[in-house]
Amino acid sequence: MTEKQMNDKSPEKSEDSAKNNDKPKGMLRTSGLATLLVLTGGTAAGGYFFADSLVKLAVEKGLSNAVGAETNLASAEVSWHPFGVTLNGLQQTDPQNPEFNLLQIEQAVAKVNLGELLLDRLVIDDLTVSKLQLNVKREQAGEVYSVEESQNEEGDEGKGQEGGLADGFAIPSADDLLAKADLQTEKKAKNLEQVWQRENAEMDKALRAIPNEAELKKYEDKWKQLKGRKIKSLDDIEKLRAEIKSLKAEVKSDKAALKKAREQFKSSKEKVGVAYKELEAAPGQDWQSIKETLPIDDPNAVAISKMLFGDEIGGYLEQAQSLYLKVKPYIDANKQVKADQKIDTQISFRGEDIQFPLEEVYPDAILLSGGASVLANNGKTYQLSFTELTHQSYVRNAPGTYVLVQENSGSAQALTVDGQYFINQASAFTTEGQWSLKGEKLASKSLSDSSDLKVELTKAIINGNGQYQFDKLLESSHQLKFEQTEFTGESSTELSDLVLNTLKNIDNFDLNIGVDGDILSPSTSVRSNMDSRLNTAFKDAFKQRWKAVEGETKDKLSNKLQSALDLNSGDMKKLNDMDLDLNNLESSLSEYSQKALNNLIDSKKKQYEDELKNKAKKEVDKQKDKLKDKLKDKLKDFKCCE
Amino acid sequence: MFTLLAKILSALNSDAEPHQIASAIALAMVFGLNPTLSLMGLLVIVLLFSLRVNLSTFIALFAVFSGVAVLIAKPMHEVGLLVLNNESLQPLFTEWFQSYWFRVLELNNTLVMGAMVTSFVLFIPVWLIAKFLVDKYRAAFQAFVEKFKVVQSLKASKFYQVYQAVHTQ
Repeated sequence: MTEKQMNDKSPEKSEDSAKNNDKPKGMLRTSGLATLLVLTGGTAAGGYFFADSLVKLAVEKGLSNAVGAETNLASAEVSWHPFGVTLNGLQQTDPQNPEFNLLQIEQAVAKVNLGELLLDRLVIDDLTVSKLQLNVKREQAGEVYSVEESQNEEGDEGKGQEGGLADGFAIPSADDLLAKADLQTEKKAKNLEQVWQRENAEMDKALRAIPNEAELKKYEDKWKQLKGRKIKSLDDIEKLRAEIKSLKAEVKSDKAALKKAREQFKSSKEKVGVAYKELEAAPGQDWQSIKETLPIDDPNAVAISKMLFGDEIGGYLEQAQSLYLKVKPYIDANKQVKADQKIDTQISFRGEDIQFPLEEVYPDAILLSGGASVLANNGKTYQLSFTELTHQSYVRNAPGTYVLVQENSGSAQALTVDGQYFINQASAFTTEGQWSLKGEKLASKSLSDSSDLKVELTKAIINGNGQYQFDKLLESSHQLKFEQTEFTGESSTELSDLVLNTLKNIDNFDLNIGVDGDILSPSTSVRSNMDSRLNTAFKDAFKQRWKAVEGETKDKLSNKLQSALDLNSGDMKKLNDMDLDLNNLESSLSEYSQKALNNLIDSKKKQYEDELKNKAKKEVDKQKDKLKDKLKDKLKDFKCCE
Repeated sequence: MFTLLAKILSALNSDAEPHQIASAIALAMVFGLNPTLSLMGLLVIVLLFSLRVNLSTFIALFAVFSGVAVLIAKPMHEVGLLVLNNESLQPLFTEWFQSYWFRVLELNNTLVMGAMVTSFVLFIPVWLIAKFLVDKYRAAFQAFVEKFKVVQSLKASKFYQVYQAVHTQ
């Protein structure tokens, strides 16, 4: 805007302004007040009329984002006094199996505390869920937005079953036992081989340093030559002395090498001997170890009930663990959120919240009371009621309680589960509870489907009770009593025949199950009076069979040992041969001892001296004879008494 | 910045009643010191819609007082702490704390309470001082100021052109 334009406009504006100023003005701005009322009213009316749609949209978006799969909600209604939400026809697709719903609810009515909602807390005074169903097939597959990473479920083969007894009633063969045992025989045989190879190399090295046969022959020749040497002068003696000195040095060096070789031999023999002894003892140790890991000595220790029900119990445990693993990330996330909130308050200055005592305190989210009717896939309806369900039990210092009831057609309670849990400030979860089961008719259930025994519990009435407690570690005990039982099945071996016939004669039995320890790897114990009955029945047969297995296993271990020993027998012979060779060599070299060499010089010296003496004597005799002859010649003409 | 100053001068030189300008300044002080979505903030919005106050002055000074609020946050927190920890007021606050309005409006927060008390206490003095200054400015200072050569040269400047444009709008 230029100055000119401004100047052009100013007079008109000034006039308008002057006119306006002439009007009497009160304190109230009526037009503003009207605008405020219209805005406020409009917002309230909009909220009132569109609340249902907004809630429907929020539930669908929120759930589908949280779960990662399509959420369908038929309708949602908002009631204002008291404030609450009703959800009709909720279906949540299972992201891992989009053909099925993770859960399906016919209707859920929640009464929500609006004041707490404004304070960012979800407090549901009452929640009623009708016809909650899990894992129901959808009419058409739901859309999946993100597939959760499948949990690495470790295959717990043989979990809950004592070693070697996983395959129904098949007693483990000798091969099975050997395969499962951590065999010392094989290890020790390998060790012996390694020790031998190492020591053999050391021995070879030592043996290479000692004289061989050709060198010994050279010594012999040299010795003969020296022994036969004629000494004609003092020079010859000196020469002989020098040669003997050289021979002595060679012999000394070879003797040192021989000494070293003998020491090496001694050490190697010792080491190989130890390894050999260990190998000999290994089969015995292996058998002991197999006996310790398997209930071989005492057939009573073999829990038949565990064989029959182990898989069933394992299945329930796996389900519980899978549920725990699904919940665990949320518990961890809660811890993270709490930590983040702490950091936030530390960073920004926004004053300090002074807390005054409250008559009613609430955590961030809580279901104060409620109930749900759960329609199970087996057609049974379970009534679930609960109070104080929250992830922050410590806020109200009240445990969350839950009661699950399943009624029989005769209105008698068939199953009741009654428990409570508490989550403390450190997000540590504890729970305890008990359950009871009365007059539950068991549908036909397969207990064993192994190659040699198929057992089915076709009929039974179950009563039972149990209690559980979790505080870092799980402690639980469960007692079940099976009455009016009927077993059917097929058997193909002597042992399984015995089992099946014994079971067929049982019309009631009890089952005591204990699940204790770490929740992700609990130890289970299953005991039943059926065990003693069955064990009594086939104890002898079992023992005989075990004896056969024991014999076979021991034979196989012996064979393993023998083959290992055979493998090394050639090496051991070589070691003994070396000993012999060293002895021969030692005796050969002893011939060339220092003393023998010194004696040779002395004898040669003496021989030479004797020769010189003889020679001198001969010369003297010769001179004597000559003088004698000369004298005779001079005296032959001389006549004494003529 | 020119526009802000221009708006203030425009209001001072306009025909708006001094009490309207003083109310705008006092309300801007309250709105600036308190969080927008607080009890006082909402009250000020309602008053702005309902009462005839000078909006230009309000908008211009709201920015100023918002800056001041940041600077005096600590003293206001101390005031809030003093009030909320006052022994004689404990029963009252405990009773109020049971109701949702008190907690929704975060009146248990030292900064919110401190800002509310501070702005409440300052409202009347600020209004009176503002009115006094506007009256004084219009009666003597406006004519006096305009005689200055510096003001005359200022009038010839770009700033004055902006001021004129705002004033005539």
